[in-house]
Amino acid sequence: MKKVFVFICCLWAMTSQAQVQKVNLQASGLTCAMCSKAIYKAVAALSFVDTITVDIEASTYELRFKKEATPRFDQIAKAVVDAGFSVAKLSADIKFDKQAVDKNGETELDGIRYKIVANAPGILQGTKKMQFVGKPYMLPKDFKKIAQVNTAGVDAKTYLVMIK
Amino acid sequence: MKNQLFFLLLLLGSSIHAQELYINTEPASNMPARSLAIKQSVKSFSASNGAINNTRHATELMLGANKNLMLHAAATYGAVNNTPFGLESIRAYGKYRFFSADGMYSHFRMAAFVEVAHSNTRPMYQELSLQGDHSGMQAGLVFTQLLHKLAVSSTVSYLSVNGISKTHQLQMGYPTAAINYSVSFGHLIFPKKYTSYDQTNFNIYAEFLGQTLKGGQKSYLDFAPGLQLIFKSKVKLNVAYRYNLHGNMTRMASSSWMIGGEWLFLNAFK
Repeated sequence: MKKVFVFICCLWAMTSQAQVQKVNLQASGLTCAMCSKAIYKAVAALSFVDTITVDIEASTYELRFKKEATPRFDQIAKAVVDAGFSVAKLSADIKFDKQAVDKNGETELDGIRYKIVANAPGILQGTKKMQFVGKPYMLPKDFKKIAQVNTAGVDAKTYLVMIK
Repeated sequence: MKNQLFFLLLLLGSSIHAQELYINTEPASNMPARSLAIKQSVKSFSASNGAINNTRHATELMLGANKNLMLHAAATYGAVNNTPFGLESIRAYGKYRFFSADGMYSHFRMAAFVEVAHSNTRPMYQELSLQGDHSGMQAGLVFTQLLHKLAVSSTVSYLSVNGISKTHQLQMGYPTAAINYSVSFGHLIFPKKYTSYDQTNFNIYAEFLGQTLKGGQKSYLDFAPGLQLIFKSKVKLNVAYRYNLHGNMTRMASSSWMIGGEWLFLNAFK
């Protein structure tokens, strides 16, 4: 019984480390397979990336991460830019377990701080799709559509997100 | 001329993806950061002076230094104008992308470049070139627009050569500077739909390449149609024919064939 309990604890510990279940990335500024491969290889070289599923035609990439690694969303965007292109859209499926959100819409999970820019709930529960907000993560025309986000007092390392 | 116009209209009216991996010119886009490419090509001239040996080989090493800066180092060697086979020239090229506006399936980019070459060959023609014939320097701007189905790129540059003596200049009417300009079009023929990086890509290109010598008295305009196969999104095979549409300057050749291969190594260094 003890062993089973330990096993369950281990399982729980493993799953609790994988709150960011996947990231969906759409790149812009390209139409050719060689360009798409350049992005693929740049993202694949990131230490925390485990698998990538690509749709070349749509310029979309689904990223999954190594079990004990914490994904760095800013590094994903930088890899795309270094390959010579831009990020059109970046979103992450994140699993929350009664995650408290403060009155400013900010919360921290696995050492990563998020600010929900609109309609932030008090508690986050279950898997949520978080879309990253800001010039490095959006097409310029999509960024323009978003009402000015008040970032006063927000740490530079905090990711601005919208719940989709 | 009618054929060229037809080819151009075909390109403009095409409804498939455009490509900007041009054969004779560089786009404003750069190679990915930390990537390396090696280009090997051979050019065969129909020499205007009747020379028998008229091939020129070029090896070019290209480096994506960072997202905006690309560097090339090249050497040309061959047996042009019946000279013994040997090294003709070395060349260095740097291109800096200073503007980039990306949209979904579109972009507009601008870059500036500088090129320096040293050549061992004796200048014989009015045409100026850093691709083996002259020592000198070139600087210019590149503008590339990818817009849904069509990629158009244009280059304008100033070229200045040295190593031509004053006597030579007077006797032969040699110029020492020129404006170069080009307009290039390209698009993908195959595959119709991308499903894998292993699919072979087939691209066609149409490039217009011109030069006007300082003073504006002498010029040429060439048309260069080309075909390109890309294997496994890694290796390119280029074939291009280049011929004179209009011109009044002395040149080594009024037409040439070029065949080349290019190998791309992504994430080649940290």
